[in-house]
Amino acid sequence: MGAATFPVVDHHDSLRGALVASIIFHVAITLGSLGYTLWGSRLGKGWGQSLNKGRAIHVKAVASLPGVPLPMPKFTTPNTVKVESPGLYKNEPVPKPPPDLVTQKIPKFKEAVKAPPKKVLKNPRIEKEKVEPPPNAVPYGQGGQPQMSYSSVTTASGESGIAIGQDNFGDRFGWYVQAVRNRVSSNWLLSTISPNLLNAPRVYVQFDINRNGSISNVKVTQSSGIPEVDRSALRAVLASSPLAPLPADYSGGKVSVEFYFDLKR
Amino acid sequence: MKNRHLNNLFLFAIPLAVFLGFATMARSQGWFRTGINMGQATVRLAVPDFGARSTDPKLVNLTKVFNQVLWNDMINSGIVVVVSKSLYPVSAPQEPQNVDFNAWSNPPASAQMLAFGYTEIRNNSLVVTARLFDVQSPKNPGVLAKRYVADLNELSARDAAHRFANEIIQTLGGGIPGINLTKIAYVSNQTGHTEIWVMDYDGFNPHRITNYPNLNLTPRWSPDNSQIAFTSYASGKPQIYLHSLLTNRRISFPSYPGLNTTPSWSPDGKRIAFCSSMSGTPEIYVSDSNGMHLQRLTFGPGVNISPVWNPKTGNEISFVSDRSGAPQIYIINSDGTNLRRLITAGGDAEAPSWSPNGLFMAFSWSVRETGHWDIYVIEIATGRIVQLTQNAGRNEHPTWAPDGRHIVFESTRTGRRQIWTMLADGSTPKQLTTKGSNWNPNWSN
Repeated sequence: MGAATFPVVDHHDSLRGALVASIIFHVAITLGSLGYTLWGSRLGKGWGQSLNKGRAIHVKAVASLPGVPLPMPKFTTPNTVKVESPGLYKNEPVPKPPPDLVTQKIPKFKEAVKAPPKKVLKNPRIEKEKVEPPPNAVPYGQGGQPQMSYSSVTTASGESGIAIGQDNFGDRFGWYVQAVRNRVSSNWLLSTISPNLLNAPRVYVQFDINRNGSISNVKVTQSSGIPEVDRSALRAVLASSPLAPLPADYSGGKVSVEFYFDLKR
Repeated sequence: MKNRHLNNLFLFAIPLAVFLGFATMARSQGWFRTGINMGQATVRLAVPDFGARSTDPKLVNLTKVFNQVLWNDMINSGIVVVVSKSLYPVSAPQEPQNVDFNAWSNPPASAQMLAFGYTEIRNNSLVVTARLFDVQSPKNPGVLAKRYVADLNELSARDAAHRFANEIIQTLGGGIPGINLTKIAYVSNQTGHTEIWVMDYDGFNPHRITNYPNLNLTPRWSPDNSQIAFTSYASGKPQIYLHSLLTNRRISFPSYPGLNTTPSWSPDGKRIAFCSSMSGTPEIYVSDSNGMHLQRLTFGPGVNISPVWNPKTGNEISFVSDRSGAPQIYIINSDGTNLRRLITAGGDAEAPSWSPNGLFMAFSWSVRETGHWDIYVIEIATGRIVQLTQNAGRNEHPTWAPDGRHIVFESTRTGRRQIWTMLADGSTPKQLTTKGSNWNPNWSN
């Protein structure tokens, strides 16, 4: 290997090409961002819109309600009495099964020594047809409230997927709602609440009205925190059964109602 | 209320439109939400006269009866405000397509509900086609549509009107059946004898049902309305008599020694509580409805009389006792335990009557300070007392209607004792009888 001339870097090499490229690049980025700011929002989706369009979102049909949330009543001192119901979302712990107490028996000689089980001959080339469950199949024993999957309904507002089950009953049969309200509120007796309780947070009670007007599935969905107020609200609902039969024009079998109670003396 | 639902509708109009298909699938579950303190408690109901389809004088007369009865039933119902006829539009509709929603729902009528229809004669019977419309929601106005076929006489026409009024009251009142077909039993001396009489709840068609010598008092309906128990002096001394309205005959009941009076049915109709002095002093006894299995409940001093069962539970009996000096109202369990005094204030309290829901007791009371006999209602759980009548003669013997909204009682405000009804808050008193003296009413179930 001879003393080859070492390639000398030309220090006077011009940077013009790179500079021009860089300037063009930056101008392009600036223009691009400016352009996106001006027109990009019109092309794509706006803020707050879900991008997972088409993906299923599970919404329980009965668990919560659509509509404008009503303002809570003002109350002076939030009571901190212990709530009786621990809430609907908690599952009770599964009790542990008792330990097996079966003792092992000493095997008898003739039973212990057994012939090996016969091999079942299988033809591996014949494949069994796989049966896929239909997409709406419910596993055995795990029925209950139907979980309906609605796509993209949730984009418009938080809970509108639930509005599907609504069927604007109150809009069509306002007179029925009014009759129910009058009957239930006439059965809510202040004598069932201790007189030194002047006001309480709102209690939400949920129940079903069946076709013949009978009431079922009564439960407190949001407690007031004061057990006696909850109980008096439940009493008012239960004392109103049976209500008037559902309107003849209504095709459904039952109507779910959420009823709230404001205690104000 | 209405606005909120409209808001709801707008908020969800778009997803609803997109998923209309799903909506029809999920229709089996409707929703509405409501609460108390939302205002506008009573419904304004317009009841224009039903029109007759022909000028047959028979039909015109029966239509007049029908209109009058329906109007009175709605006025007496206590759950609706009946819009005065002078505020109605000029023409009353007969068919759904003729209803002018704006004219009825706007002032001056300002009605929410409209009851309308027509009468005609078909196959020699009166046919009434009656509808109830919600005129404030023109898109979906139909609430009730009924057709009644009645005989061509006044009683049948009244019956049809009562039935339609019952439907309206049950629909708009939240499920409590109307009382327009119930009857009132009472004591009257208008024929010279003191006998048991029965009339419609509005005072129509009074007729005598007993024909015994001497006095017949304190009628009480059995829970199935097939019998009336009462006290009769026919044999010379007071005895319990049972009268069947199905056969119009007396049913046997043993005649115990001494005074036997003020029978009262248990809510299941299997037992009768009454006052008897078979062991000396008047005490409360309970027996089967045929007089067997006699059981003595009270052992107190003085007179124990006028038992009434708690109609809701059947576990309690209220009665009047003067063990503390003056007559006062007590409650005892139907097995004879847990005796307590209901009204701790003084004066004379008599004639207790439980409300159908078992929470209230109506009674007549003469407060010691004034000495006037008036009707009061006490809330049993709290002891709160409400006075229903005031400055109107002597008012006694209240009993509740099965709907818990009306009370029938006797009053001397027009001179002699007569039967009156009022709403359970003391408003709209109405006189039912005018002939002779009439007292001790009892409302059928």
